[in-house]
Amino acid sequence: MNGRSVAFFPDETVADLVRRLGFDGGGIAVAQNAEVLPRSMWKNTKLQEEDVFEILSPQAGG
Amino acid sequence: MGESASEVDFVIAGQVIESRLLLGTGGISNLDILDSVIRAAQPSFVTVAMRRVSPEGQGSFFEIIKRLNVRVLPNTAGCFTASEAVLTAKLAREALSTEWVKLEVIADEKSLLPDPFELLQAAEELVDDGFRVLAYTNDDPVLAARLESVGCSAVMPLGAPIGTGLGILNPYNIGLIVANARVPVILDAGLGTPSDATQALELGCDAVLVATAITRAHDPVGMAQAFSLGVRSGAIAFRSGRIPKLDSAVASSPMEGRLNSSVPFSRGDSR
Repeated sequence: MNGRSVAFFPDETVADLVRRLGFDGGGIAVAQNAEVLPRSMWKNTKLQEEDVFEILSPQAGG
Repeated sequence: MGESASEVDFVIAGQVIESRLLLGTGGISNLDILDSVIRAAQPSFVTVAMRRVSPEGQGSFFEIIKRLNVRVLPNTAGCFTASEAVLTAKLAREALSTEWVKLEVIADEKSLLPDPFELLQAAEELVDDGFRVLAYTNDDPVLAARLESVGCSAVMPLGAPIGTGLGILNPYNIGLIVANARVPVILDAGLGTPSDATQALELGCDAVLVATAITRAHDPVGMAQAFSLGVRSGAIAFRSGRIPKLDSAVASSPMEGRLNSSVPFSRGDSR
């Protein structure tokens, strides 16, 4: 996740992970294996070993 | 603004854009002054970059821009390939619920110049996916035309490399881009002073995007106001029609009716 390994629980979903890491304040987006994972699918997507997640949010820039 | 009846709307992708100044938030040292900078600049868009969330900073910037109630334009700053830029744009669309993106694909970290091949490929993919693409590009009329032909909603040629403050290094090329374009031209990058922004508008650009010149000025709020005035001045000057440049002097006072003494006069006569 974002370039580092993260341990996860059995049956943990993307929604669980986002909440557990404190990233659920809005304004974030998740890519699973280089594809956008829409917010509506977070609660139905279970974490798998070897999954690569990118979680991005807006920052000052440009 | 009530400046003139002949004021022409600035339209991107069918939407009237209320200000010809776009503000980049990059380089701002203190987010507490962002509100004052935005009020002074009165920008139509405020650009943001998309970055990996960090536990400490999460939410704060997003909360600030949400509270400021400004139109946000996400960018793909820092992307080196078309695939990185496309994924970043899609994540921005998901995070910010906007199909508008400032597409930026740079060749290397040193020059920060756009990579024309990756840029064009990314533009094509994003347009096909329904994005409104505002493409940050070199000051190259050929590339600008290619970006327009793949469906970009605006082209954003650089005045000079990002952050240099060198102004418009090739006004001739910017003029060519403006002359050929059927989409808005937004001068982006390299501006240093409000007079650079005025020049961009005088050359016929529809708008400018300014970040560093405002955010890293000694007084960002003052500089934001100065840029806002510079842009408005340039827009009025452009539609008012400048005089042609001539090689020799042309008197502005009438020659008729002037004093024309036949008595020779020489300087230094003693009285």
